[in-house]
Amino acid sequence: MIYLPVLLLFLLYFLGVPIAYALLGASIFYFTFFDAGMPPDLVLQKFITSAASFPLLAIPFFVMAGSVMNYSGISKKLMQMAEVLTGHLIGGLAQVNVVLSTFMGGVSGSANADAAMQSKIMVPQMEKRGYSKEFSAAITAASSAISPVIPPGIVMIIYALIAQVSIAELFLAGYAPGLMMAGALMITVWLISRKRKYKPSRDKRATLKEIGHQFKDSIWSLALPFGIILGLRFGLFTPTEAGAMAVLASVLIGIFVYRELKFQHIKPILLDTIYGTGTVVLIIVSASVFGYYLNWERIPQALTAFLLDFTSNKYTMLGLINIFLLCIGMFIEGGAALIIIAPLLVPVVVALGVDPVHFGMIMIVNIMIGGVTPPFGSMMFTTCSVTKVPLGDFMKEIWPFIIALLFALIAITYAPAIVLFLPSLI
Amino acid sequence: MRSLINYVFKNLEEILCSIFIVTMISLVIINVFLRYLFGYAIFWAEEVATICFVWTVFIGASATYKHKMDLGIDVLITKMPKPIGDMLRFFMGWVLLAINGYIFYMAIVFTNIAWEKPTAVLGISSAVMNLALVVGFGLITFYTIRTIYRDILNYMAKGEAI
Repeated sequence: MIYLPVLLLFLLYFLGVPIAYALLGASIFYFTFFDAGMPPDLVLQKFITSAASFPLLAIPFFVMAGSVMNYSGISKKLMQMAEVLTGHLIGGLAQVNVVLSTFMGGVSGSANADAAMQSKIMVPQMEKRGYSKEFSAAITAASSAISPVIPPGIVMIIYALIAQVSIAELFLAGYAPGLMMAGALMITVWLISRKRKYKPSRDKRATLKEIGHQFKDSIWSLALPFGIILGLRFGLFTPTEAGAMAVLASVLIGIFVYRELKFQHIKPILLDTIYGTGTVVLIIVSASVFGYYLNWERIPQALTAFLLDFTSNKYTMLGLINIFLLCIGMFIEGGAALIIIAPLLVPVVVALGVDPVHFGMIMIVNIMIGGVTPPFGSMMFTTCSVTKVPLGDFMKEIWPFIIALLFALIAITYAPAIVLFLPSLI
Repeated sequence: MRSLINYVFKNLEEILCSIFIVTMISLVIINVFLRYLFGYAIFWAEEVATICFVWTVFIGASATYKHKMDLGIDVLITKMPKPIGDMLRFFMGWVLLAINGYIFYMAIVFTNIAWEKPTAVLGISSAVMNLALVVGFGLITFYTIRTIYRDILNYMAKGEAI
């Protein structure tokens, strides 16, 4: 009976109610019809107070920073850099696609934005060079899973706020897993391209001089994320301030260094920020109201006890959680899934001695894999709708990449040192 | 003139949110510079930025609702036979009306109760924050009703199953 609101949540969601409103509907249902002993207007207070939180301001700021960087020519510089570095490899443009997503992680930090951008820019170019459209769409979607893992990223900020871990530490933890995902995808691209004879995009390897020249040209785009992360790590700014400074820095770079940012870009940047904030933060505050119900009924505790009863071996537990999250990730958008599930699972794994930063990386990587997996992966939808590739054709091409990403996930799960090495260093 | 008014009404949320976003980002940046250059901080900056943020969230939510940009899946409904899918969609419109209308109503009640309650730093009425919920969900409820109304008009025009 106490699980009725959870059932209602899923029912509403699958019948097309947006996730934020499904969460609100299920919560209202509970607080109105169950004798919870709490007046509904107190629930509303929770709704507002969870939005009135200064740390959450980091979200619109980082959304805005990503948008500004897109308009200020930073993405273009990163693409040229990726081309110089990997264009000579077998399957050149597909490799560029992966490396670009890795670079873009430091810029956009949102998988869907990355998938949309690369579907528009990379896929037509790949097609021209003789890659099949389905393959191009598949590698674009798969590589977009890397961007949220490379810092800074919105999903990481959300997890850090929920699990109460240091944002700077989580950011630093993202580099190694992100690079591992990129490596796994690049090997897969190489294997497939060799069989299908996909050609490199440049005749020969770029000389050191060329690389150096391009590096100098792209240095601002590459250095900006590091500046933000180091500023955070050494306590120069709070995460919210870091977001605002990232906006300021990218505006200045766009105007004075690359000279591509124009007055008419203000409107689309503001719109990106408004819509990005409206969707994401509404889910966060709705989920916190829903979390009120979960806590009121002590469901996290019940779940913890249930899971610990099942196994008290932390590696078995992480394996089980991974399987559970992969299933969830296939149905619910990554950020939303994280917001709902992280508060339930963090206490369980911490009780078993798992580092919450390590667990955060597992969750984020896992949920991003869900985002490219049929039937409901959100990056899959974005890529297919922009490139007009039918879902059925996409599915045939995506599975080798999903397997590659799963290998990376297993390594990240069972070798915590990969994740925790960098944060322990600085 | 008329087209200007029209433009403002059509883009009301976007215009309001833009003002709030620019205000909050400016306040945060100015405070960082003041702190490092003069060792001084505007004491109310954080509270005002947070109030702007709350307005951005709820008015922004109304903007995304207006454009049907919220994250969700309608694959199941579109996969159903058309008459059943359409009927379900129409029914879910009423469910959304119940949810949004109820929150709108509760927001008014709550804002009324908490009118006297001061904010933490400036000590002004907490209504400056709570009204964001009233306005945001007022607009969202309006759009929900508009969708239902349009569905009914469509039905009457075509004379077929909703």
